[in-house]
Formats: sequence, C-alpha cells, structure tokens
Amino acid sequence: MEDRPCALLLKFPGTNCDGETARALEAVGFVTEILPVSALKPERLVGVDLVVLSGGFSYGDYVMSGRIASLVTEQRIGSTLKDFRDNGGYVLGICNGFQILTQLGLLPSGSLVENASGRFQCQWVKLRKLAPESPFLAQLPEEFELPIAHAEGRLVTKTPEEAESYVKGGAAALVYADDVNGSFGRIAGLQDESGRVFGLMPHPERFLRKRDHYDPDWTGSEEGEWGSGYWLFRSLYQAIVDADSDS
Amino acid sequence: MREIYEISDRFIEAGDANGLLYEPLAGGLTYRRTRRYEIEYEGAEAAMEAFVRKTLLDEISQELHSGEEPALEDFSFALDYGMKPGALDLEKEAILSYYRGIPDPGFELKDLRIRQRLYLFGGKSGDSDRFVRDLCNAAIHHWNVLPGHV
Amino acid sequence: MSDPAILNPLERIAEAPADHYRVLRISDLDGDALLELSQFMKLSLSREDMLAIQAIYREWEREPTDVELEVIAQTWSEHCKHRIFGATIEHEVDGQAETVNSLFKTYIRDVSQRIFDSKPGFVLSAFHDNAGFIQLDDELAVCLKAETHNHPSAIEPYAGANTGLGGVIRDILGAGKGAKPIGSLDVFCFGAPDTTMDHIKADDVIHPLGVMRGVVRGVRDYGNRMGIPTVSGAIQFDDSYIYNPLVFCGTAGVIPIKDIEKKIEAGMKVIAVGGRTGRDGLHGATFSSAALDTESHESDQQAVQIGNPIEEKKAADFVLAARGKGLIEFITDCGAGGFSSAAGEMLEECGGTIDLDQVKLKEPGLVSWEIFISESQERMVLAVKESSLPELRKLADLYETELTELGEADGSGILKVVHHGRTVCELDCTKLHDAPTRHLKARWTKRTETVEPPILTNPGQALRDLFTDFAIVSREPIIREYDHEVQGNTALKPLAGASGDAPQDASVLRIEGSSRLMAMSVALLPEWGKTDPYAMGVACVDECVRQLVAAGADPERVAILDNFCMGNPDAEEELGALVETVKGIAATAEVYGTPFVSGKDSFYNYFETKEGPVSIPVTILVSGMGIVEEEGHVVGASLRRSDSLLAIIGHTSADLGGSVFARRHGLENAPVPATRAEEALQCYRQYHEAVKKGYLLSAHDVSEGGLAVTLAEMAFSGKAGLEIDLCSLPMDDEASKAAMLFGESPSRLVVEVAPEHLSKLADLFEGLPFAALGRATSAHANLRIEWGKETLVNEPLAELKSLWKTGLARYY
Repeated sequence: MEDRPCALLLKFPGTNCDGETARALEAVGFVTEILPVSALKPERLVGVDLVVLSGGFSYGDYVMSGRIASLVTEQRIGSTLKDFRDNGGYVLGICNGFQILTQLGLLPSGSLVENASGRFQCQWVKLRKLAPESPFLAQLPEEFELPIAHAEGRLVTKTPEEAESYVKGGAAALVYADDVNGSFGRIAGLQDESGRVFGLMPHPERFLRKRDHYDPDWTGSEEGEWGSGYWLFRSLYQAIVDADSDS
Repeated sequence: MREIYEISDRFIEAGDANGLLYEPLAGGLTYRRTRRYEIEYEGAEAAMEAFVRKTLLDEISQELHSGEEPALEDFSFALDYGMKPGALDLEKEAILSYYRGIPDPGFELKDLRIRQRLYLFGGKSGDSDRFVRDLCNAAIHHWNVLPGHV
Repeated sequence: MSDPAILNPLERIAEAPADHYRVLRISDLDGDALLELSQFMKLSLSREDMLAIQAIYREWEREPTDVELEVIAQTWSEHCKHRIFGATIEHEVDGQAETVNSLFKTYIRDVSQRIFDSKPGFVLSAFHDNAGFIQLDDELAVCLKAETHNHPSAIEPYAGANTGLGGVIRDILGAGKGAKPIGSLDVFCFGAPDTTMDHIKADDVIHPLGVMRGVVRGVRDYGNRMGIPTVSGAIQFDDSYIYNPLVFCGTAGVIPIKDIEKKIEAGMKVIAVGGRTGRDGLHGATFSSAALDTESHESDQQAVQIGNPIEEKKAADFVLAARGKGLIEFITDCGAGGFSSAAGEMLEECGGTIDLDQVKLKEPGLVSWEIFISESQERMVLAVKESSLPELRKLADLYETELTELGEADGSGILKVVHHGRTVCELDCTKLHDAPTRHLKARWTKRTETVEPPILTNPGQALRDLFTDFAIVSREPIIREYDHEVQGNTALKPLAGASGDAPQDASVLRIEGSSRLMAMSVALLPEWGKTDPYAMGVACVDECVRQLVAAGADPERVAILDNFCMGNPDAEEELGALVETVKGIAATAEVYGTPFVSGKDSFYNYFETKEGPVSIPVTILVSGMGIVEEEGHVVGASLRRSDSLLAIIGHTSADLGGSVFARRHGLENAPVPATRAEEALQCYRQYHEAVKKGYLLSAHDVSEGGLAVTLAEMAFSGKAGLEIDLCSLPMDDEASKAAMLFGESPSRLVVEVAPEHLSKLADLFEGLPFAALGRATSAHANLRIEWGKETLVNEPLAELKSLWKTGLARYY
C-alpha cells in the first residue's frame, strides 16, 4: 500500500501542462496519475486525495474557456467531484483548470473572460495572499511571484460588489498586486467555502525552483533551491498528510 | 426550424476601432463584438434552447438575445463575418462534437452557422469598406454589412 | 494495369471526371501537349520532366494513371525534391566562370559529412529523416527542423502561419520513431508596419500590418494550444517583403537515442492517425513551387487550410505514448504530397499496398488522386507490427484520435494503391525519385562601392534614432503573446534580466531526464545579402553560432540548419546571389565545425505588381541548436551588477555596410564588414573556457545597431548605468566613430565580468581581439560612452528603453 497521498490529474484533449504539473506534484511527495478524460469514471476517484485540473486549452476552449471540458466532466461523472470535495477531497485547478472549476460551479460564482488587454499574456506577476489559512498557500509568504500565461484570465462576477465581497471575505485567496488583466478585485485565485477547492490563473508548476525565475540573481526570502510554486504544492501536500493523520 | 441567437458580453467595453485597421480613420470610431449563432434544428425548441444556454452562454458575463433584431443599438453599421463553407470553423466543430456526444439531446441539430458581429459606433457607413478590407479575407471568410440604426 | 478505358487527356480536359481514376494515354503526345497536360492538371512539371515521365512509361510499355502522374509530380516538385539545390549551375562571379554540380551535395552535404567524420558520435542522423539529430547525452538526442510557409501566409496570414507551425511540429513528431516537441522558433520577414496603402502596387495584397497580426496570431493559437513553448524568433522588415512575406516556423524535439533508427519491413501494417482527409488540402506542394500574382490570391483560395491544433495535440499525445511503449516501427508526417509522400517515403524501398477505401474522409466523393495527395492537416502515418495493433487502438481511444489501417508493407519494392477494387497506382518506388537534373545559369557581380562615412555630429541622437527603427525595437508585444514557458523547462527565457523584459541572444531549454540543456538561436541578415550575399552567408552562420556560444553552448557541439528563400531562380543575378550565399554558409560552417543537419528552400518568392516583378532579396535563415553542458553554464544577456566590468571580444571593422545605421543614412552600398572566421572560432572557444570557469556574469552579442545598442540593451535590465571608453577598442585604424558605435562587424561579444575575474579573462584572450571597455555604475542610470576625452554618448537608459519598448507596441 502506497503511503504517499495520491493525486489524480485529469487530462482533456488540449490539456498541455500535465507533464510539468505532475512533475511538481511528484517533487513535493504526491503519487501522481495522469488520467485522460476518456477513461474517467466515478470510481477512479476512490483512494484519491487530490484531483488536479492543469493548464492547457481543453477542447481548444473555442466556445469559451473551460466550457466543453466542464460539460464533458459532468457527462462522465455527474456530481462526483462535488461529493469528492464534500468527503474531504482536495481539488486544484490551474489556469485552464481554474476556468473549468468555475464552469463546474465548484468555486464561488464567477467567470474568467478575455483579458482587458484583449491579448494572450505570458509574463511574471506579483501576487498577494488574502487567505493565509488556505491549505494551498500556508507555506507561502504574503507576497510572491508566479508566471501567468493566459488570454482569458479576467475574473468577473455578476456585479463588481460580489467580487469585492470575495476579496473581503477571503474567497479571493489570491490577488494580483497590480492590475494585470482587468480582474475584478484583482482576483487571481478563488477558494470555495471548504477551503479544499482552489483555482488560480498563475502557474505554480513553472516556478518549482529558484532557477526558473527570469532574473538569474533572484533569491527570494526562502532558503534553499525551491521557488514559490514548490511551496504551493508543498503546502497542499502537508495539509493532506496532516488531515490524514488527524483522521 | 431556424432560430437565431446573439450573445453579447456584459463586461467588455467598446474598443478603439482604429486598432483593427491598417491605417487609422478619422472620427473616433469604437466597436463592440458579439457572436451570432444561426441554428437549423428539428425537435423540441425548449431542448434546443436549453442546449444553447448550457453550451454557448455564460450567464455571468454574457447576455443572450433571440431573433433577428440586433442585440445592440445606435450603431453606424455592423459587420458580420465568419468562415465560408469549406473553411474550418473550430468553434463550430467543438460545438458539434459535443452535441454528438450527448446521449439524448431532445432535438436534432441540422446546421449551425457562427458569425462574429462587429458593431461600429461613430464614423460613417461608408467606412465599412475599410473594415471589410482589413478584417475579412475571401480565402476563408464570408461576410455581410448591416446598415446602422442611427 | 487492367483498366481498358484509355482516354486522350486533352479530350478529357474538357470533360467531367467519369470515374474514380483514369488511365492517360501520354505515349504519343508531343512536348507541347505534355506541358499543356501538366499545366491543366496543375502538376507544376516542366516539359523536360513530362518527357522524362513519358520515356519511363515507354520503357514500361504502358500508360500512367492520373494517380501515378500526381504522385510523380508531388515527388518531383521543388517542395519535396529541392531540384534547384540539386541542379547543375553554370555560375559566373565577377567574371570568373565555375560549374556547380548540385549546391546541396557540394556545399551542404559534403561539407557536413567532413564535419561528421571529424566529430564521431555527435551527429546521429542528418538529411534523410524529418529532422537531424545530435547527441545530447548517452541516452538522449535532440533535433531541430525549420520550414517556410510563405505563399499560404501571403494569402491568408493567420491560416498560413498556423498550418506552417502545425506542419513543422509534425515533422518533429515524425522524426525518428516520434520525437517530443520541446520548443519552437518563428522568424518572419514583413513589409514595414507603417507602410502606406498607396505604396502597395498591386490589388489584393494584404497590408504588412494585416500580415504581421495574422501571422503572429496564427503562431500563437497553434503553438500555445499544442503546449510547445515558442522561445526563439526574429522579425525583419523590408519593403521587398510587402508582396512576399516570409514565415519560417521551426520546432525542436528530444528522443531517446535508441528510437532514432526506424525501419519498415515486409508484413508491417501501415496506419494513419489524426485528422481526416478532405479536398481542403489539394495541390499545396506544387502550389508552393510557383510564383504568386494577384490571380493566385483569387483562384487559389480553395488551397487555404486552417489548422486544428487540438486534433494535432491528440495525435501527438498518442504518438508519444505509443513510442514510449515501443509500439512504433516507422513514422512520418503527412506533409506536402499527403499520403503519396508519406507512404512513398515509407515504402520506397520495401514496397507495399495502400487501400484508399480505408481512408476516413471529411466528405464523400473524393477520387483516387485526391485522397492520395490531399494535404489535409494533422495526419501522421506509421508502420507498426500487426501484433501491436490492439494496444495502439486502445491508445487511440484513450487520447481520442482516429486510427485507420491503410495497408501493408510487402517487400515487393512496388508502391501499389488500390481503390474501389482497382489498382490505381503501381510504381517502382526507386523510379519515383529519379527526377531529371535541372540546368541553370547564375551570375553575381560585386555591388558594393566605397563610400565616405558620414560625419557624426550627435551620436546620442543617432542612437535614439536607432532605437526607433523597426529592426531594433523590442519584440515584447509579440513575444508575450506566445506561451514561452509551457513545459516548465525554459531556462533562459526570450525576455529576461532583472526586470524580465530585456532581450536575449538565444533561448536555453532544460531537457527532461538530462543534466544537459539545449540552446536555440536564429540569424538572418537580408540587408547584407542585397550587396554581398557571400558575406551574408558567412555572417549568418557566425551570428547563429555566436549567440548559442554566448548563451553557454559548447562551440564544439553546435549544429545548424539552412533555410533559403529567394525570388526567381531563372533570373541569373538572383540565382547568383543564392549560389554565393550557399558558398558563404558552407565555408564558415566548415571553419567552425558546425554541420548542417537539415535544411529547406523556398523559391518563386516574387510577385507581379503593376510596376513589374518584385522579388525578395535572397534570404537565408540560419538556425541552430547547441548543447549546454550544465545549468551553471547558462549566460544571459542582461547586466547583473553595478560593480562589474565590461569587456569586448572581437574586432571592429571600419566598414558600415549592412548595418541599420547605414540604411538610415543612405549608405546601402557600403562594403559590409569582413568576418574573420578562424579568429572568431578561437574567441568562441576561449569564451567557452571562461563560461566553464564561471568568469562571466552576462554576455550579449553585437548585432543590429552595433556596440552602442548592445551596451544599452544589456543595461535595460535596470541594474546599473554604464561608463564606457572606446580608446582601446580592437579595430581597424581608419574606423570612424560611426563604425565604432554603430557598425555591425560580426564575431563580437560584450561581456560583463566581476572585477576580480577581468585579468584572468584577459589572459584567456591573449593574442586575440579583446579589450576592457569600462564599468557598470550605481552613480547614474545613463549610457555614457567616451572616446578618450570626448564624450560620444550620454543618454538616460530609461529614455532609450522607453523608445525601444514602444516602437512596435503601437502596431501590434
């Protein structure tokens, strides 16, 4: 029996960050399986601690980002992901995965629409965490950097006030330090009420080691070789291990 | 049966139309985009509309308009353009492919035509030639210009 | 061949097709009728070619089918066979006559073979596969391939670039038994974005801005969706590219060395995976071997295809999984010529049967030749053991891609195609590849003239002026549209430095499973080629190698690609420029020991405008890959400290020709600087010694804009101001201030070094052109350049950077 926590990474046609995301999960200690969605069944979530939806362009994201992927997921496993969360499972969505989670209704109501610039933006951004207790962020400093790479990362809500309430109430676990893409409340990442579902536009798997930073002299505040992205996955790993030992 | 839906974005502000052109026009034109879906179908209308809402519409950031009437008002002209027959329309392919995977859709989707609609505000209706020239390409597109309601 | 219905092709020309294939009686046609047939069928075969085909069939004592003629036309097309590079050329340079028996054999293959022999084990495969492989470490090899997609991009920029990148990615997926694509490069040549409409002398030509926007978005939408980082690139702007934009797309891959060799044997099954076959992809190969005119913008509109990256992503996931499980024996992409080229390549020695009834079609009713040569996108062809088929089918289902069994290899040596129960093609594959040698004439006459350098009254203003030139302004708006970090292995990013937006010379990728890295770079200097194509060839190889070495690659482990584009090969001066360019790249590659491992050429990049034909200047893209021994060897191009020293490696010539400065000051015909290749190689070797010893903080190659621009670009990291003195610059005695500041002599690098390392670094360059230039400073944020007591430049870096950053942003 494998002692390490198990991560299941769902791969849709067009998912393309699965390799490096699996590498990051393995680096912090998860056993990771990449599962093409064609093989997804409710029972595949049994024994899994973490479901990950990674970056990419599921089904091309042609209608809108994440829409077809969320419909296909519902078609294949119905509400299994919600049950999984309710039974203590963790769900992480990165970039396209975040877009899919918002479409699935696993996160507070909101949509990720075209960046205010109207462009794809591949750049590094400064982030601020607003939910220090989040199992996904616990080991990260108040401010840190991660790269983004998306055309549709502008988080909007029915009304701007709703987004403001996320910022005040902690659902907006992660915000951009600057206005990067026009997101309401500069929201970069959302968590659900349980705190076990978390989606973010930036790519933690691309900043696993300090050497991944664009500036060769970047040292950060932490000791050692690891970058901010590592600490996100590591926080999550720790939370799952701790939750397991509690139960 | 045939139904037309036009989907507009609630949060995307009007943009500077000169950004779409090779050389700027005088007169401070702005533009907004919508997407127009022409659906040929047979079967239950309610099932078809449910499919449209579920597949094509984002309830948070978009609005759905049915019928021929343009979704926006007070425009100088509008340009509809989309893939001509034989040219690959990736969005259409994605929608059809999802539709084919639904076990019991409750209606039969016979045809789907997708058009980008570009509404131009300010400027003159004669300006439409420039937008056609700079945005449309006979190699892949079909298009038509809709006179304004100003 | 049993079909009785032998029709006269000229009668048939006026008739609708009667059946799914035809036998064509060509044995008694004369040259005119054969040429007419070729033109009618859009075969792009010359009279001589058609006569050669006629002779082959007379020997066989039978008539060809339309499928066979199409197959031969595809195989003999310029796109597939590179017949101009194989031609016998009577060349005359400055009055001296010479005969070149195949540019490819003489200057590319033979030169490279000598280098392969001198570096055993380095090049693992070259010229015969979809891409050339070099050794990365004991287990892995890397490869690189670049292609052009010029004509389709001229007609529909988005779709042309999109399918161009999709195609070269498939080249990598079809290299060896299926290499994994790990990085892409894209290089464009456009007219200037601010070209006025009345400057365009033809109808239906898309404005350069439309071409640029469409091409960039095409690359973006395909590359980003495929999850392959677009890490390297360049853009050249010149009026001559208004009618014929150039779009080069390249992709690098990695593969286990054991999976490079592939072989097809009798009994293996031939399968296709990926997209379906349709009429959308007809006559691309022969189309790209013909010139453009306004009419082609109208009549060839059916030829424009749009790529479907998700279709290709699914096929790629399948191929990589299948190769990982050892299920692939042979694989190639379905590129130009479609199944006919793919199956032809696969079965040329072994022979076998392809059953067109099995092909999955997008639409019904395609006749045999249409199915066999359609270039519909996103298809791969594989040969596999029959016992592997069940597992392959499972993988295809898992990754949601369509797998079709097409036929079987049989060891007969004959390519047989059956359709609706008839044999529609039966060709001895060895005969397919015997195209007649072309005979061409070429001539080149020296075009440079000695000119007086201008008096530089305000060098600071001249520098500002350069930072507004389209050749120099930051490509940031475009680079950020590409995901250059997907796969998480981009060690040296295209924009880096302390502020994350400074330009780099090369990109460096980590390779999963290896401690070694791969650097990629590109070089092209069309401005040089207008007056001195030989020097252009020399300098392009130099710049490509120099950029790789600058970023940390081992100069002994660099391989390069040659991608040529030119106008009309029947114009003697144009072909002459090509011959001179080829001689230039060959001579330099031989000195540097950097073999060519792959190459491609694109002809007929000319356009009939209202004012006569416009050809592009002969353009060579040299792209390269180099092995970086370890992560610690990676050197960026951005200034890192405010207490460091700067030095220059390499000699500065008095000649200003080819430079951006010369173009802006009306000195187009000034001689271009000479490349001192032997000396440069010594410098690169010593530079690499310095890399290994850890002396270098950063290094930037001197290219467009010259030394002053290079220094400013280094300091765009925002770390420090610079205080430079040119008094000990290694240079020609007569070099002017303009040449010192803005000349573009090749083989030069500016390096940043910690004060304690400068003397050790200088020792490494004993006897070579090397000089301390000055220092970084925290006292101010200017670029200050002095020459003895005279201050030449003293400009705030922030202002220069602002000019540089906003120059293109207005247009893209």
